[in-house]
Amino acid sequence: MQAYIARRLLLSIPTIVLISFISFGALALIPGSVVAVMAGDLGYAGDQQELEALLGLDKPFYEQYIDWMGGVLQGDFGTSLWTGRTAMEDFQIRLPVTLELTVMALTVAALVGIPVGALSAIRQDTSVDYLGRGLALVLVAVPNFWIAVLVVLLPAYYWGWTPVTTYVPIEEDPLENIRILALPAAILGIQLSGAVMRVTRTAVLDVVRQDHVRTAQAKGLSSFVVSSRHVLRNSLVPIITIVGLQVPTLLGGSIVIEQIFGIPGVGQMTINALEKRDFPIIAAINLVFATSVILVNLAVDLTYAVLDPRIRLQ
Amino acid sequence: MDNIFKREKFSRRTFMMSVGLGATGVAAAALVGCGDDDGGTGAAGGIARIPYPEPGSGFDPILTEDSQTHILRNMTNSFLLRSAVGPDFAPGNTQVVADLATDMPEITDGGTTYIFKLRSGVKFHNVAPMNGRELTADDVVYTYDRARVEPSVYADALESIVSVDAVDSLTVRFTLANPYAPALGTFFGLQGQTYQILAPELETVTGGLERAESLIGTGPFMIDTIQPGTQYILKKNPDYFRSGRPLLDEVRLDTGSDPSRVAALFLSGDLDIRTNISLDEVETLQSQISDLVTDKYFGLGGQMIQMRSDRAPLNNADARRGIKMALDIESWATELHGGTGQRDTPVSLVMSDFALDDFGEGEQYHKFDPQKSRQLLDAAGVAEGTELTLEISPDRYGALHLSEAELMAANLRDVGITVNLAPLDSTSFIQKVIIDKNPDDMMMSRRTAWAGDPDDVLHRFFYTDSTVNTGHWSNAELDRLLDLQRTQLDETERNKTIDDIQRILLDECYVTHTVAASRYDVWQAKVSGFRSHVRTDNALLALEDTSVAS
Repeated sequence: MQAYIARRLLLSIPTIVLISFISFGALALIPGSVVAVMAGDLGYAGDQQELEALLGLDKPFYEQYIDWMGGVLQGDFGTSLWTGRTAMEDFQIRLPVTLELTVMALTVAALVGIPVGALSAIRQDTSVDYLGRGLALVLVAVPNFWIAVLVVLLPAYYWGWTPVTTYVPIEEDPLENIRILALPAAILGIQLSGAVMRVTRTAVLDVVRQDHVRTAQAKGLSSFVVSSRHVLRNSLVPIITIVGLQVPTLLGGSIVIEQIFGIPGVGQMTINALEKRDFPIIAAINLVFATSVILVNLAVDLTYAVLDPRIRLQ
Repeated sequence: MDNIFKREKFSRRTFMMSVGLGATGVAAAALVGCGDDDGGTGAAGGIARIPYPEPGSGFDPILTEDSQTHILRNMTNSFLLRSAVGPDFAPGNTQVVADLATDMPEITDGGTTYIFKLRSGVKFHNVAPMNGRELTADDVVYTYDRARVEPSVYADALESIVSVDAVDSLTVRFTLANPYAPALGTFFGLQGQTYQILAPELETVTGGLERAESLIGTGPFMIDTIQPGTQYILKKNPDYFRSGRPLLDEVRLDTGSDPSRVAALFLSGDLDIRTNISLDEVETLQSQISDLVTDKYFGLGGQMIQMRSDRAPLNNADARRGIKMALDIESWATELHGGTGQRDTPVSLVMSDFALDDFGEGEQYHKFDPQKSRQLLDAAGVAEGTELTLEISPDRYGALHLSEAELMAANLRDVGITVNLAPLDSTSFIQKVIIDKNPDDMMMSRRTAWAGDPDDVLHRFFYTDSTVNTGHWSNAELDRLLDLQRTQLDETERNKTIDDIQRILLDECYVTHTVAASRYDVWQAKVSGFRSHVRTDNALLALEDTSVAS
């Protein structure tokens, strides 16, 4: 197992380097440079080359990339061209917030999606199943930012109250922090739960028809034991896969949700950096997101072995 | 040099004292209200909560023109002179009053020397590294010397200043290369509020002046809590030099900038003040909040359509005139601004002392007349079916920008011209249009007279060698007049020159100014003493006279 993990981690390094190179290169292709944003329209166009030299943007692309990657290897993810703050400083504040939001959203998705999906499968072709399938379709189809805007605006418009409030860090007041994140996490998680419901239903239906389940029922085990021990556990592999695959979606979704709810996570940092063409920060965010996705995929693969002893990681 | 401050932008009384002229203009001086405030009548206390999109540009005031940077610096720092903002001043005024200076400057040597006397006993915030040190003339010298050289984005704007010297610990002398009529507005007036007085010690703050931790000055509020991405909390400065001010105990700047979040927080009473919001939003808020307080005023900015005059077909003045006459701008004002906007002129309407009484030859082109438009276009060889490209950037200038562009396209369709709208994102727009100066035929943008001086929107946009001459205009007579007005310290003479400049612009139609729209600020009824200001980044200066009932 340890050799497998080490090999996977080693293999992820070229992937991460490739992703960082592509994302760094893509930034150079976006029309309009950071110099253009900085120059604004106040008439400093004549200083463009000077400004480029000042920011180190006059160097060839590969030199800029090598400089940046060299810093990353030493733990320096770059410094904002605008604020003088290092990416690491912002990550220290913002990454835990986004991770907390993501974990809470995944929890909501699992707590809602798995039971409803399983129930839908167990009560196949009944009104409960139709309701569950319909709900799953609606949740998959409705964009979370739309739900978020409605949740934020409608109560304010009609009753002069809004669930939005000022973010409180977890170290300051854990309960208040969780209360503040609960709604955005629920909105992110509920949407994801639609996909989880559908996969759970399909997986459970597959397992329910297998011989070992029939055997368990024939042995006279209770429905609860059959469902939880024999059906659900054996259905979890595809469910864990879909949940793992949703992590990048969640990280992407959090960009908008964090903005709407005023949560100081990496999503908010991403929008600010993109607007300002603050490429060291954007490159650092891409690197962190890419690494997160690779690590989550590894965690999902490792979970397979725990859930299904037949799977051997070699 | 007898009436340079006729338009009430500056203290008439003080100016006259300083140059030894007669004792007229008392009423204007009363409006300006220089000197220490005795505390006024406002009830002290309260917390003001205000939306504040976080600046993406750091807090070093000379490295950015980002108004969000300056808004916060303006609250923690002071200036030589400052905008006349507060309950006693109309929101649309462009006056300035003394701030760290005891009075308006003494101007000598034919307008090339400006001497400011500083208040004594003004202290920086009592936090490290300043620890309550008294302000001196050296701090003013440091601030302006720093702003006058690269990489300051204001180096070009301040190039007329030859030297800044501390005559003694409380006297500062600015020496100019030549008499420069826009000096007060540009160096010390409205634009002067980008030169918040700093201290050399602030460079020792970790990370330097770009960091929020360096928001230390002599201003009414002190930075208390910095939560990037969440809020900035400012507390009142107990040692502020205006006794009894500020009234507020605390200001909370909420950095969440999402429009739905801001709207919800204001509707639910969790935000107290909003500045520069649209008419639609005002109407929505008025329908929900019965005691909402609203300030309406004209700003310093306005939209304009710039035409390339260096290549066909718009190098022909009649073609530009024909296009201008095809635009029913009065109806745009009704359609887009509920009738609250007005047709704009080359100098912003808010600078009413420069309002043009006689439009000259250009008056005929300042009217909507499709028939005459078609005749002029025919005379210029612009046949029906001609296609022109209009570069726009709703991303940069907002939704109204797109609406005006669509109305323009509709109007021009009626005279046989097809306008191809070319929307660009903000950065691409700046790159192509502003930096590369390569709009295809026409572009729509905004102009703002930041300094509250007509030079700001005339010389900067229409001078042949201007770095923002995106339309490639070249008019020797215009250049001569633009240079001349800068040297005219007699305001009557300068007004005449500026009138002549406006007449040339109205006749040549390099640019069509569209609608000067009203702007709106709103606040909850529990807020007292707040007023708007033509420069949104200065409006929060009124917070020192503001209180919020709990």
